[in-house]
Amino acid sequence: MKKLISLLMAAAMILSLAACSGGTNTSDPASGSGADTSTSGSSSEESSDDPILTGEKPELKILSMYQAYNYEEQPAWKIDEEITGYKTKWYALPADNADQKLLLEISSGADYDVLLRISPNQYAQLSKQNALIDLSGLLDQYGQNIKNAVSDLAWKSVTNDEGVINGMPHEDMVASPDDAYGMLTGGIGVRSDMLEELGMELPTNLEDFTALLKAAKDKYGIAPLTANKTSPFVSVLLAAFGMGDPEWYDIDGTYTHRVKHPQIADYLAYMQELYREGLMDNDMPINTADNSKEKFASGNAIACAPLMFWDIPSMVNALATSNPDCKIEFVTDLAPDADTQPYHYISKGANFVSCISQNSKNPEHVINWLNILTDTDNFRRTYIGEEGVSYELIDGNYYPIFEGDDATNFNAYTNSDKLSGFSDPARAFQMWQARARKTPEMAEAYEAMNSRVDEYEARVSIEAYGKTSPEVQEYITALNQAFSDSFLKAIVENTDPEEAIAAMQADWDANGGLEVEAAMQAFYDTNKDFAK
Amino acid sequence: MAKVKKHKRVTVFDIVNVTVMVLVGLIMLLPILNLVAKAFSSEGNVIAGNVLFWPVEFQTGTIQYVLMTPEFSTSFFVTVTVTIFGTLGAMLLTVMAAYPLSKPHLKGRKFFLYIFVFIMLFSAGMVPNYILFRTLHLTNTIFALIFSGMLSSFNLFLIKNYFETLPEVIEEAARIDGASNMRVFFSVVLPMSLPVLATVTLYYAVGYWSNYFAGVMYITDASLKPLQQYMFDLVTQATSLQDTTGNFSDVSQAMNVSGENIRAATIVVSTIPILCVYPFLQKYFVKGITIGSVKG
Amino acid sequence: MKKKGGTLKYLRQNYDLYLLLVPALVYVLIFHLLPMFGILIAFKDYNMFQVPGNPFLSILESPWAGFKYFEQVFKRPEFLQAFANTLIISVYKIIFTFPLPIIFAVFLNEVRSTKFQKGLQLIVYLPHFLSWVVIYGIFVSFLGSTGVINSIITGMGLEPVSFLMDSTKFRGILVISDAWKEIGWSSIIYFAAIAGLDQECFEAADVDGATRMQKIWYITVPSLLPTIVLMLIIRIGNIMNAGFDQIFVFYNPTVYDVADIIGTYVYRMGLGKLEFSTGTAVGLFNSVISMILVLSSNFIARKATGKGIW
Repeated sequence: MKKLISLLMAAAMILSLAACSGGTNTSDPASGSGADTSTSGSSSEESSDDPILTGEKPELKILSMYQAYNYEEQPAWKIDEEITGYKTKWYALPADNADQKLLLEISSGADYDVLLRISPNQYAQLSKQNALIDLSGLLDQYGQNIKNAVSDLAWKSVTNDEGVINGMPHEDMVASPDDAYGMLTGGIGVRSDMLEELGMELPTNLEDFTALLKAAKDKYGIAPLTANKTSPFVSVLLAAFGMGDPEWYDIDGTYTHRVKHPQIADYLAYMQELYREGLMDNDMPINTADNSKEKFASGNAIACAPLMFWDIPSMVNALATSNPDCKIEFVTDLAPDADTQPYHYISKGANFVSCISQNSKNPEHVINWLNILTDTDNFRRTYIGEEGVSYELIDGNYYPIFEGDDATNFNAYTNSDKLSGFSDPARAFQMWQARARKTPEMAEAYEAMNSRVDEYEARVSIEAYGKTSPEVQEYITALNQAFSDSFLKAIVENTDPEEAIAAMQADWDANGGLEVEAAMQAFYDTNKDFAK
Repeated sequence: MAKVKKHKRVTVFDIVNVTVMVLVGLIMLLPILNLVAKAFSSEGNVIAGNVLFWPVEFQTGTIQYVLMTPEFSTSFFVTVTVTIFGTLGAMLLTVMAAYPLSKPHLKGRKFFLYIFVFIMLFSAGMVPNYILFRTLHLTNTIFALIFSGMLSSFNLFLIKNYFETLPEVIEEAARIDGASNMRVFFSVVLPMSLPVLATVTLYYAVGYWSNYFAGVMYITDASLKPLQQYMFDLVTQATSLQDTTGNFSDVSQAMNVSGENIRAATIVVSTIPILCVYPFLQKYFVKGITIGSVKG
Repeated sequence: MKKKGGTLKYLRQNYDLYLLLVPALVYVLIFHLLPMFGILIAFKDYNMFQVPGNPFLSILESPWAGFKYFEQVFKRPEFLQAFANTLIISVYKIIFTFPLPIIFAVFLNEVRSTKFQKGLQLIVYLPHFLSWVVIYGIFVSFLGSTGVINSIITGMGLEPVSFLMDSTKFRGILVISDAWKEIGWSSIIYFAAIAGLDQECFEAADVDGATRMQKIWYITVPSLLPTIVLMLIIRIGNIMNAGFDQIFVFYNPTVYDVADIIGTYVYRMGLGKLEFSTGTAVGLFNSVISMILVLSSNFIARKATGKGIW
C-alpha cells in the first residue's frame, strides 16, 4: 500500500509539471480578435470605415511600472473603459530588478500589447535592440491627439536618424517659464516657532541662511540643519553657487557636469564649513529620511533638507505633538547675497515613455486607445474627474472637492495620473495643482512659497532628454554614484576642497566621463534652442 | 522512564542563567515592541519620534486601514496559499528523498548526494531560471511561486543526518517482523523524527513566507503578487519618493506615500501569521519524545 | 554474471527506496540541472535579443567572450579590497556569531520552567522577520550622535562615538546587528537537537553526582556535535556571502574601505545591472570558491570526527 502511495506521488509530481507546461496557452485574451474584425467587416457597409475605429475592440494587455497598488483597483480603470470602450488587463513590473525583468519578458516573446510608462532608460535599451515597432505610421493614422499633445523636443528625443519613432514620451508636468506660478515645490523646511523666537526673517540668500543657522546653534545648542544620506547635493544651497537641481550647465557654450562646474569647490568648502562648525547634523551620512524628519519634528533641528510641500500633512501632525502653533516655512533656491536675483530651474523631461513591442498583437488598437484618452476632455476626466464633483475652478485655479462619495470625489483620482493619456505639460501642471491643494496647510504653504515666484528668474533645463542616449547610460550611474560618494567623504573628512575636486574630476575622466561629456555636448549643441 | 525531579534547589547557576536569559529576551523584544507601538500610535507622534515602547495616542485605524486595503488581502491570500501547498510539497520531496539517502547500503548513494551538494552550491542565475519557467508556462501562475525553492539541499541533509542517528536495531527489529522498507519508513522512522521534521517544516514555511525573489522574477499580474513583494513596493515607494527633490511626475505619488506607521502596521500584520507557526511546532521539541520514549 | 545477478536482486529488494528518490530527482533535474546550461552566459557576450523571441537560442548563439567578464571585474583596482573585505567580514561573523546560538540553546535548556523556555524561544526568533531596512532604522536611532548609547557616553563626560562612520568599529556593528537578528533563528536547530537527546544519560549523570556544567560539557555539547559540524560546513560554504542586504543598507561612503564587499561593489559600479554576463561570472566565481571550501571542510570533518555531512 505504502509502495503504491509513493509511486502515485512520484507520478503526480511529474504529471503536474507536465500539465502546467501545456495548460496555460488557452487563456490568452487578445489572440486573433484583431484579425477577425478585419475580415468580418469587409462585406458590410462599414467596409469604407476603418475596422480599428468601428469594429470589435479586443482586450488590451498592458505592462506598466510597479506600484504598491493594483491598477485594476483604481476608479480610473473603469473610467478608462467607459470612455474608450476597451477592456484592459494590467500587469506591473517589480520595484526591484525592473530593467532586467522587462528585457527578459520582451526578449522571450511576452505578448503585452503596450509597454506603458516604462522608464526612458528601459525604452532606450529596447529601442537599441530593435524590440519595438515603428510608430510613425500608426500615429499619423490613429494618433492625432497624441501627436498634438507631445512637444517637438520630446518627439525629437524618440525619433532616430531615419525618422523611425519607437516611443511616445510622457512629459513631466512643469510650469511654463512664462507663467511660473507653482514651480516652487519645496526646499529646506524651517520651523516657524524657532524662527520667531530668534526674531529672524526667512532667509532668501546664503548669507542670511548661514546667519540663521549660527544664531540657532548659539541659542539652542543643536546642530540646526539636518539632512539625510541620500545626496550631499542640496539644490537650494547649490543655487547660491550657480547650480541647482540639474546636473548639467551651460558654461560659455560648454555643457558642463556639476563635477566640473567652476564653483563646485566653493560649494564643497561651504558644506565642509557647515559640517565642521556643527551647523549641520553630523549624522547626515547615516540618516534616513525618517531620522532627519524626526530630529526636525522634535525640535532637535531648526531646518530640514530636503522637505517638500507634500511632506506637510504628516509633518504638521508631528510638529503639533511638540508645539501646536508651529508651522513649516520653506527656504527656496537661495541667492548668493542680497544684491543678486535668485533663479530656479524648470526641468523639462519625460519620466516615462510608452512603446509597443514587436510581440504586440494589437498595435493599432493601442494607439487608438491612447488617442481617445489623450483627447483634452477625456484627459481631464480621467486625470481629475468632473467639475463640481471632484474639483472646482476658482479664479482659473483648480481646487479639490472632498465632499461626497469617495468613489467619485477627488480621493478617487489619487493615482489616476498613471492611467491617463498624454497632455501638454503646462496644461497638466495647471490641473495637477489641485493635488497640491489637498489640505489647507498644504495649500497655504504652497501658496506662501510661490508668492515669491516673481522674484525668481525661471531657467529651463533639458538635460533629461540627453541623458537617455546609450553612451551616457553606459557610464552615468556609476559616475554619479562615485562622485556623490567622494563628495560626501570630502565633507566629512574636511579634505582641501580644490584637491578633493581635482581628484574627483580625474576619477570622472578615467571612468568614462569624457565619453559622457562628448555625448551630452552633441545633444546640447543640436537642442539648446529648446532650453529657453 | 524516571520522572525528572521537580524540587531541585535553586542554585547560583540558575539565578545567573535566568537573569542573562531575561536580558537577552529584552534586547530582542524592545525594538519589536517599538514597532508594534508605532503601528498603534498616531502618525504625528511616530514621525516626531515620541513613540517608544507603548503607543502614544492609541488608535487602531492604521491596522484597520492595512487590513482593508484590497492589495494587502490579495497578497496575503496568495502567500498563505503558496506557503501551505509549497511546504507540503517540499516536505514530501525532502523527506522521501532523505530516507533512501540515509541508507549506507544504497547503491549510487554517493552520486545522488553529490548532485544535491552541487545544486546547493551552484545556481544557474536569473536568466536561465526565467527562461525555464517561461518555457514551462509557469510565469504568472501560482505554480511559479510554489515550485521555486521547493527543495533545499540543506534541509535534505538535516533530515538525512537525523535519520542516520536513529538506532539501526529498531528498524532491524521491524524488518524481522516482516515489515517492508516503506512500512519501516512510515511507522518507525518518521514517528521517531518529529523534532527534525518540525524544524524543517518551519524552515520551509518561513522560506515560502519570506520568498521575495520568486514574485519579482515570475509574476507581473497584481492578483498574484506575494506579500513580501507588496511590502517591498510599499516601503520602496515611501523611501524613494521621500528622497526625490522636486520631481513633478513623482509628486502625485509622493502625496500618497504611506506613512511610517502604515509601514509598521503592515509589517506587524504580515508577520503575525508566520510567527504563529512556531509555537505550534514547538510542542515537538519537548524533551524525551523521541529516542528515549521509543526505547522505554 | 554473478555480480549482475546480485545487483538485480538488490534492486528488486530495494526498488521502493529508489522510488522515494524519484520525485526529488525529477524536481532537481528540471528546476536545477536543466537551467545550468545558462552558466554559459558567463563566457559569452550575451545578448538576449540575439534570436528574437527565442531566449534559449539567444544564449547558444551569442558570441563567445572567453574570460572577458571575469577579467572585467577582477582586474579592477578595487576588486582585491572588496574580495578581502568579503572574507574578513564573513570570518568575523563565523567566529563571533556562529557559537552564540549554540551557547544560547544550551543554556536556555538549563532553565527549569518549560514555559519560560518556550516563551523566550519565541521572542528571540522575532527579529529574524524584520528586514534590514527596518533594523537599520533601529540601529541608527540607538547609535547616532544623539542616540541612546551616545547619550550615555556623553553623560559620562566622554566624547561621542560615531559608530557607523568609523572604519575601526563598523565591522563590529555589522557582526552585532547580524547576531541580534539571527541568534534566535539559528538556535532553533539546536533546540530540536537537544530535544532529541537521550534523557537516560542525564539521569545516569545525576546519579554519579555530576554538576550542571559537567553535564553540559560532557553530555549536551558532544551530542550536538553532528549538528554543529553540519551547520559549520554549510556556513563556511557560504563564506562569499558576507551579507549583501545588510551591508547595502548599513554602509556609507566613509566606511567603504572596510565594508565594501564584492556584491556591493559590483552593484554600485552598475556592473551587474544589465550585464547579465558579469553577474553570472561573479556568481560562478563565488560558487567555485564555496565548492572548494565545502569539499575540503567536509573532508577535514570526516578525518576529525569520523563523519562528514554526506
